Parts: sequence; C-alpha cells; structure tokens
Amino acid sequence: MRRLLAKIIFRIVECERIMKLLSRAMDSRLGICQRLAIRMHCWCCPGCSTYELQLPFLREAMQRVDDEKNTERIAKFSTEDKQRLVRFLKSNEPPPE
Amino acid sequence: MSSTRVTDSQLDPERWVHEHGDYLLSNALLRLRDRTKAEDAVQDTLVTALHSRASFRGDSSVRTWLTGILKNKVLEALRKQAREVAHHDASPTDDDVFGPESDFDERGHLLPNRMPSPFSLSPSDSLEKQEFYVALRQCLDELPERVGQAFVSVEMDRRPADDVADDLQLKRNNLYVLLHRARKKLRACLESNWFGERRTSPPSTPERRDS
Repeated sequence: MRRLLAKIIFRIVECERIMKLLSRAMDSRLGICQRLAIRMHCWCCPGCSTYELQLPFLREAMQRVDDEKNTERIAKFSTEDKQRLVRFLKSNEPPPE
Repeated sequence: MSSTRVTDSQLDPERWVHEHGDYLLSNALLRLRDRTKAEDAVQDTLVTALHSRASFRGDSSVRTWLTGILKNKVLEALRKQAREVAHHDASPTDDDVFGPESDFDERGHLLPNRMPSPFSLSPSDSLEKQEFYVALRQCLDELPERVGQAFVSVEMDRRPADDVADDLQLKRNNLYVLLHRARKKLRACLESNWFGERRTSPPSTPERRDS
C-alpha cells in the first residue's frame, strides 16, 4: 500500500518542479501547498531528497569561499600592473591638507 | 586626533597596492566574474581611498577599510553592467545562457543518471580543505557571467533576492530560475570534480529493491 502510494505521488509531481521549488525555498518562504508537495515528493524520491540536503551544504561552502585564507591567491596583479597602479595613484594623490 | 593611531605608512598607496592589491583583486573577481572589471573596481577603490584617507581612523584594519570601499565599487559595477545589458537584451532567460534542460525525461522526471547522488566524501570534512574551494571556484567559473554574479551575490554575500534582482535588472522569477540552474550545475560539477565520478547506475532504494 505504502509502495503504491509512493509511486503515485512520485508520478504526479515531477522532479523538475520539485528541484525548482527546493531552490526557491532557499531564497524565499514557500506556501503550505508547495511545502507539502516537497515533503510528499522527497518522501519517495531519493534524488530530490539528496538534493534537498545538498543545497544548504552549497550555501555553507559559498559562505566560506570568501574567507581570507581561501581568497588570498585567486588572482594576482603582475609586477608591471602593480607599478602602473602605483604610478596612477601617485598622480591622483590629492595635495596634503 | 587620528594621527595618534594611524601611521603615515598605513596610508601610503604604494603599500596598499603591494599588501592588499591581490586580495582586493581576488575579492572583486569572485563577485564580478571578469578580470578587467575586477581590476577596474580595485583601481576605483584605491582612488576613492586616496581621497578619503583623512577619514580613516584606524578603528579597523586598512584591509577591512579598503574591502568596505571595494564592496560599493563592485555593486556600482554590477548595476552599470546590468543597465548596459538590459539595454540591448530585454530578457536574458535561462535557456539562452544555459541551453535547454537535459536532465529530465519528457514527463519531467529525472533521468536515472542525472539523479543527485549523495556526496561520497564527508561534506563537512571538505569544508575544511583549501583544495575544495579551488574545485568550487573552478565550478563557479563554468557558470555564465551573469548567473555567477547573481549566485555569488545571493549565496556568498547573502544579499536579499529582491535587491539582487534590482541590481541585475532581472524579474524576480527570472532570478529564481537563474539561481536554480546555478545550484543544479554547481552541485553536478562538485559531484564530478570533487566528490568523485558520477555514478553510472541510479541509486537504488529499499522500495525499489522490494518490488
């Protein structure tokens, strides 16, 4: 009986729609029907229930990309660019007060 | 007043370039997703800092102060770009930037080999490893520029979706679609680039084994 019910629910609501809703739930509060649709679907769909757990992980990871130790060496100015930048700044330096 | 805490060398623009230039550039590049725009933002930041250095009291570090200015410059750049794009590209919708959906069958169900599978390594361990962020940034680089900008604004800077939609001149629903596609793509990219190869067979469930 439970298996049959699960099959029916799984067929009625498509993964595509659920994955969109799961993503949307990360950015705004969903209505009760949408939340119910997610719960019923994830109850019987391993792919979407995995996805539901991975979205908060992705968020946590993104929060840390910005940490100083993870950011420091993404990009570098070349020595010439640095010299050019310094010259540019010196020429733009406001007169001392 | 401020001279008691702020030394002249702290306010030397040459030192800013050498000590914080690469950090600021990396910071801007993460958000703007384009090297030239990032370099311009850093240059604007340093010029602004130069003209307002009298107001720097030394309550925070020079780097924090410069990063604060950079944040505004990045936002200005994002808005400026959005105005230009919106001018000749009225609706940058999902399929234009990502190509059509290919993970689902004709009824909207996930194709078996596109099923998200659990990450094989422990995710929380990955968060402690610097190499993980290298993989994550590579995956971010694969996103189209505007999608990356939107995703980073929302997920890294945690800015409200409404603000980001305004800045990028997107309708709110378009933004949600972009974010959805970005998440799906990043997840799949991490699965293959960091958590190991994609599984060839669909994950089985107890229900399925029974039948």
